[in-house]
Amino acid sequence: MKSLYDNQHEAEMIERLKSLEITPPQGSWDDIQNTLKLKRKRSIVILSSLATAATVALFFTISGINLLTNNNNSTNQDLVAISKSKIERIESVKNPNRIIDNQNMVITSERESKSNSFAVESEKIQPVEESKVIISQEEVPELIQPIQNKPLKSYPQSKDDISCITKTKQNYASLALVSKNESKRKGEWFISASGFPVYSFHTAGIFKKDGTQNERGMMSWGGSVSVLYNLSKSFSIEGGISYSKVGELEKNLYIAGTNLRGPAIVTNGASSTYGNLTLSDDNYRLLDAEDVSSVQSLVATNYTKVSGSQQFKYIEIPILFAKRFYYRGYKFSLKGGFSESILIGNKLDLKGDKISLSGKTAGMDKYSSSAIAAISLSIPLLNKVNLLIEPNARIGLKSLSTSYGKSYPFASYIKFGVEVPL
Amino acid sequence: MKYSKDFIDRLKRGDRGAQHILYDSISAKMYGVCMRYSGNSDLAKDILHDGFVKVFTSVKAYRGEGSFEGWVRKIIVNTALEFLRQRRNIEEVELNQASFKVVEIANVEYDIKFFLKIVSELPLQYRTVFNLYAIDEYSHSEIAEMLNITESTSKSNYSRAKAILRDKLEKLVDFKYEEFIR
Repeated sequence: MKSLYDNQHEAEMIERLKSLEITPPQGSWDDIQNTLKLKRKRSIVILSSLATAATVALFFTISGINLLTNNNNSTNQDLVAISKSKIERIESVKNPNRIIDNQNMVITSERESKSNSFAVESEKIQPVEESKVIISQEEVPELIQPIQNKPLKSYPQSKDDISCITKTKQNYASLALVSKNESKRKGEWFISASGFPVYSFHTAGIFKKDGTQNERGMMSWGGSVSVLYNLSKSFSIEGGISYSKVGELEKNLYIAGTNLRGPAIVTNGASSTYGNLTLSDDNYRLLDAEDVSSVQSLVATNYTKVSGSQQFKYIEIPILFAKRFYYRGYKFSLKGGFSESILIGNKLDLKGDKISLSGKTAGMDKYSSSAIAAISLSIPLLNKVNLLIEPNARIGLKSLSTSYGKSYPFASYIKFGVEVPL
Repeated sequence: MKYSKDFIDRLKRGDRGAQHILYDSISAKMYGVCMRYSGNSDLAKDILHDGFVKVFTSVKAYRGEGSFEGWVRKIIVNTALEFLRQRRNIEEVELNQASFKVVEIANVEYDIKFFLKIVSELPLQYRTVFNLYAIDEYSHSEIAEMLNITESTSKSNYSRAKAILRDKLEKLVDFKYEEFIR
């Protein structure tokens, strides 16, 4: 019988396999559509989660600050505060010896030069309800003189700048900050430096255990220097340079000697969502749990369990636009923008019992782009120095790995730093 | 099949109708690719699913360089390789059952089934290299990069795959296709 096999058959087989068409199973299209819908919902959930996390962090920060402020004020409860609106009102009053509260009808005063100290009686313009105003003689000129002769300072030099403190249920101390926080006008430059803890992970398998059940997010640190320019009274543009370390932790990895052989592990060692994990020491091979489950039939069965951390160091250049607003006397900025990053470090650390190895992740893209959203809070700290607290959320616009398209990185971090005008 | 720029723009906008048209026109070919690489219909279905999801979600990255069908095919092949990497141990088990599953495929010419069957019976790495080199026309250097192996390993794998195929075809000469596949 003539042999079935010859070159013609081989060529025919290849041609037929090239043009092979098989109708997919029923329901495939519906499954694809359902997944696409789910993906859209998932991306919305991720963004919402990040926004919620940032809001929660901000809430706790503000609550903490408010708590501290209230504690400080409680020692001065028998003094009376004057709000920004009251200070501005004073400017329009020609008699420098008179302080009028236009809304709360709380404070009226009359200076008596002869006495060293006095209790201020209410003028009969409006009735005084709750508060009794006590202003020391030394404090009155301090209060009035700056208002008449020069503009308000941009922020309080000290607690004495707030000359009077009202005894009301409201906390006016923060309102006083507003009046003094007007320095950030158009055309001004500011520089800030900050350090921050970073939590980083990737989007793959957050909601579905898709090969990522052994992977966890990682905490690390970063730092940045930024320059901010006020485009107008409300809008700013910010640029700078930032360093951060992101990555992930991976468990259930195994190390074996190079005598390990077999078809199941010939092509790859261990891999993560970011890419294949490679060792710098050729005397060992790295396997993941799947390899080990099929390793029984292989030559070497002596392997050690290790856990690993994949660390990627990035230098990042962000460009952000900010919209300022004031709330309860504090300056906030809503920021949004993009950043370009360059990978400067790619390290894999593996640790197990009596063994410690290093390596790197193969297939990482050297450049990456991210979108950034942040909300920052500026608190006057010292003379012209503001404390900066800024929760950030950053999500990669493309996969970090060139070989695995699902690993969009994200990071959340809270910047703590200082800001000074240039 | 050539796809117009307007059609691709619709895909980039996430137009569901355009997605359905693309799927209808190309899914049989792509499922064939999935079958060649996976060797069984269950895994092929998963690859097709993830591959098309990837096509629809990353179509914005298509810059019009080369044919659109070629671009889709590349994504499907890469998805198949990802599956084979991640599910190696599962694959090894299912490969033994693949010979029974292949014959269940509908709408395939008889001899194609035969060819598909003997290719699917190749060891995983030989099959992958054979598919990439002989059918999808990747070079050995490209294959080496894709599979993280050396170029010489790729060449030797291909030679061994061919040798196994030749051996099988020669041994099966006395069988009638019908009996073999049944």
